[in-house]
Amino acid sequence: MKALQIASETVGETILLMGNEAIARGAIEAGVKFVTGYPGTPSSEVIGSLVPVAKELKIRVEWAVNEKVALETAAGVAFAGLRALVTMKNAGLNVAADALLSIAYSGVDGGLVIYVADDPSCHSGMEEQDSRFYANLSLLPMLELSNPQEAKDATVAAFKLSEQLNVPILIRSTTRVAHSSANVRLGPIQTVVREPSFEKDARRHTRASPVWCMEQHTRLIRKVQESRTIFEELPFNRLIMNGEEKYGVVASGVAWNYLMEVVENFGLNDLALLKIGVVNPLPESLIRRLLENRRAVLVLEELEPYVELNVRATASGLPTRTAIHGKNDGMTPRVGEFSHETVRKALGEFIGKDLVPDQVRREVVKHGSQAAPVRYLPFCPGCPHMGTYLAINRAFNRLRIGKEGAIVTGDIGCTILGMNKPFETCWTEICMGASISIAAGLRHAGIDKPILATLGDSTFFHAGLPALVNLVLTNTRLAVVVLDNQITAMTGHQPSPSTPRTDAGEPPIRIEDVARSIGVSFVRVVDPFDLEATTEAIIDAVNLNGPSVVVSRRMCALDARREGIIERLGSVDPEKCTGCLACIKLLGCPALDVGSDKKIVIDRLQCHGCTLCAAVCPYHAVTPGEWSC
Amino acid sequence: MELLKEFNVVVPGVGGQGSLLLSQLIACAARIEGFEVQTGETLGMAQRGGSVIGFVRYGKKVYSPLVPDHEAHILISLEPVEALRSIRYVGRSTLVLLNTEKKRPLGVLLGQEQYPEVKEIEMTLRSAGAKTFAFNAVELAERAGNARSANVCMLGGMAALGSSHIKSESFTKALKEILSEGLLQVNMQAFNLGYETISSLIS
Repeated sequence: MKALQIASETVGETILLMGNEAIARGAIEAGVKFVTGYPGTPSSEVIGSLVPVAKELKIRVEWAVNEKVALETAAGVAFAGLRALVTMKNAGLNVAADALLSIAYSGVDGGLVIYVADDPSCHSGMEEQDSRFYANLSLLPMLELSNPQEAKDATVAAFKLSEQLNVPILIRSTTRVAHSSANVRLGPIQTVVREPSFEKDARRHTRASPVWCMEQHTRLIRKVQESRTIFEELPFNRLIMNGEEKYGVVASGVAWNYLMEVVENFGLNDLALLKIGVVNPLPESLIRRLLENRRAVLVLEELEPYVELNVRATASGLPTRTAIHGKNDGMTPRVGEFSHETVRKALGEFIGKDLVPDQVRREVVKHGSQAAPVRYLPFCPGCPHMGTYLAINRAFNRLRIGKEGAIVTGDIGCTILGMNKPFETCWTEICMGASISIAAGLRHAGIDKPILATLGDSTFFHAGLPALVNLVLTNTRLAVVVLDNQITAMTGHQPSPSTPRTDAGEPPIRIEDVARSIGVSFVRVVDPFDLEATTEAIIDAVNLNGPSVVVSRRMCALDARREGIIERLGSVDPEKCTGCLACIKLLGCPALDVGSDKKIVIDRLQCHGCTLCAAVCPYHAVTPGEWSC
Repeated sequence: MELLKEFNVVVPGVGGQGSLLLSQLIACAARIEGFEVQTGETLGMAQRGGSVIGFVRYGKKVYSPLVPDHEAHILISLEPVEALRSIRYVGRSTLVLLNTEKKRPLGVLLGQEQYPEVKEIEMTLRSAGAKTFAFNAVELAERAGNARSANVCMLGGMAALGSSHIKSESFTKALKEILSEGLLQVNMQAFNLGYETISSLIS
C-alpha cells in the first residue's frame, strides 16, 4: 500500500515517509529516469521503495554490482541528458570515489544526484565516516538534510541545480534522517520528456590532455564559486536572529533538530541560530552575519569538525573576535551520534546553565542497564552460514590445529557474524572483498598456517572478484569460501548476481563458473546443511598448494521462510537429551532454549528445520520431524 | 484530552519479534489521529535475535525522532531484559508494558550470565520512576490464534492504558491499513485480548 502511496499524484497530500523513501519521492517528483546503487545501510530503502513503482512510472531502477559501476552508469544516463539518481552508504562512496572525481570534471547535461548516507554511532557496523569531506575533495556541491521533508525537497532542488550548473550534486544524510519516518507534504510530479543525445566532446569528456584537464578543473571551480548566492538562498539554510544576541549557535544535519527542541524546552530565546543545509558551498555571508557582534559561537555537528573549521576560517577574516566552541575544546564529541543529551550538555556548558538531568536517575540507569545480559548478534535460525562456519571450525579440529591454528579472514555482510560467539571463526573485517586480498598479504608475509577467506556472494561480485583474479595470477595458497545465500541479506534482501531470476532457481552468474573460467583448479560446490561434505571440502581446499574456491550455497533462511520453504522442524527426545548443551555451544541458534528440566527445547516459532542441531547432538536426541508451520 | 507537546513511545525488543511493525502501527494510528509524527528505527543489521529499539513521537510539533532520556511516556518492551537495556528512557511519568516471555541470550543459556527475574526487572523500572504492567503477550497471542501476534497484543495494551491520546478506533484503523486481509482477523483478536488484559490489570 505504502509502495503505491509514494507515487501518489495528490499534490499537498501528507503521508508518512522514511527519509530514504522521501528521497525516492523527490526523485519521482523531479521526473527521474534512471536510478541505481548498491545496497548499504542506511541508504538501501531509496531503491527498495522505487522498485515496486518503477514500471508504472517508467523509471529504470536497478541494483548495480558495486557503487563505482552504479555511479558511472548513472553518469552515462546524465551525459545523455536524462535525470539519474545513484544511492550508496558512506563506504560505498569510497568505492565510487574514482568515478566521482572524474565525472565532476566532465559535468553533466541531465541532472545527476548522488545520495550518500552516513552512519554516526555505527548502527550498521562500519566506520563513522564523515562523507561531507567528499564535497571538498570532488569540489561538488553538497546538500545535507535534517528531516524527511527536507530530504524530499532537497532531492527535487538538487536535480534542478544539477542541470542549471551542469554539475552533479551530492546529497548527504545520516541514519537519523535516512531511517526516520515523518509526515511529508507531497509536491507535483514533473513530466520530463527528453530525447537522449550525446555529443562528441573530447575536450570535456577525456582527461589525457593536461591542458583540457586543467580547463575542466578551472570550469568546475568557477561554476561552484559563481553559484554561491543560489546555494546560500536555498531554504535548507536558515538564519534566525534579531542582532542583539550575545551568543550564537550553528547546527547542521540532525543536530539542528535537537537544538530546536532544547531551545524550545528550556526557553532559550536569546540565542542567534544558523542552520546549515548546504555543506558546499557553505553559506559564508550567513556565517559572517552570525559571527558579527557575537561574543561566542557554538558549532553543533555530528562527527568531524567540518563546519567548525570553516566557521573558524571565516571568523579569522573578521575584525571582531568571536570565541568558537565545538570539537576543538571538547564541548561536543567527534565519536558517536548526537542526542538531546549531547546537545543539552554542550549548550549548557556554552551558556553556563545546567541543562542535564539529575545525577540520581543516572545512577538508576547505570545500575539497571548493567543488569541486562549481553545479546550478541547471532545468525538467524536456519541460516546456512551457521553450517558453513560450523564446518570450518570442524575442519580445523579434524586437522588437529583448532580455531587458533588457522587464520580466517572475514568480510562485509551477514557472513561477518561468524566473528561472534559461539563460532568466533573470523579474525578480520576490513572492507568489501578484502577477505581475499588481506589473506593473500598474510601469506606473502610468510605466514605458513592454513589461511581461509570467507565472504558472501554479493561481496564476492562487488569487489572480491578482482582479488580472486590476483590470487590466481600470483598462484597464492589460499582457500576462499564463498557463503552463497543467493542474496544481499544484511541490507534487507536486495538481489545479487547470484540471485535466481527464474522459477528454475538457477543463478544468472554462477560463482563456480567464474572461478573456473579464471583458472582456479580446485572449485567445489557444497550444501552447508550437509555438514560432512562441507567439512571435507574445506579440508581439501586448505590442503591444496594454490588458490581454491568452495562455494557453500543455500538460500537465505529468511527468503526460504518467505517462500514457504520450511525444512524439517526438529524435536527433542527428552529421554535422550542429557542437557550437555553441545548444540547451543556450537550453534548459538536463537531457536534453541533450555527448559526447566535443563533439557533442550526447540522454539517451534523460530525453528527453520535446518537440522544442524541434530547433526551436532552427540546423543542423537534431536530428530528432524515432519511438522509443518 | 488535548495534547500540547509531543508524546513519546519507545519500543525495545529482539529482532524477529515485530517491534518494527509495532512502531509502524503506532505511527500510523497517530497520523490517523491527526498528529505530526516522527519515528526512528534501527534497520539493516539485526535481522533476528539482536537487540532492537524503535522510537515513535507524535504531537503538535515533533522536532526529532529520538526520545530524550527519562522522557518516554510509554515504553513497550517485547522482551523483559530489553526494557532494562532501554531504562535510560524511563522517567517519572513512564508507563511500561512488559512482555514477560523471555528470550534468553547465549551467555545465559550457557550459564555464564544471569538473567534477572521479571520481578527484579519490575522493581528496577519502578526505582527509575515507572509504573509497569507485565503480562505474557505470547501466550495471549496464542489464544488469539497466532503466537507471532504478541506485538499486536502489546498494541492493544497501549490502547487500554488510555494515556496515549490515540483513540482505540484509530489503532484498529491502523491495523486495517497496514496488515494484509489474511492476517487481520487474528490480529484484531490479539489487539482485543491485549486491551482486555491491560484493562483488567488497571482496574
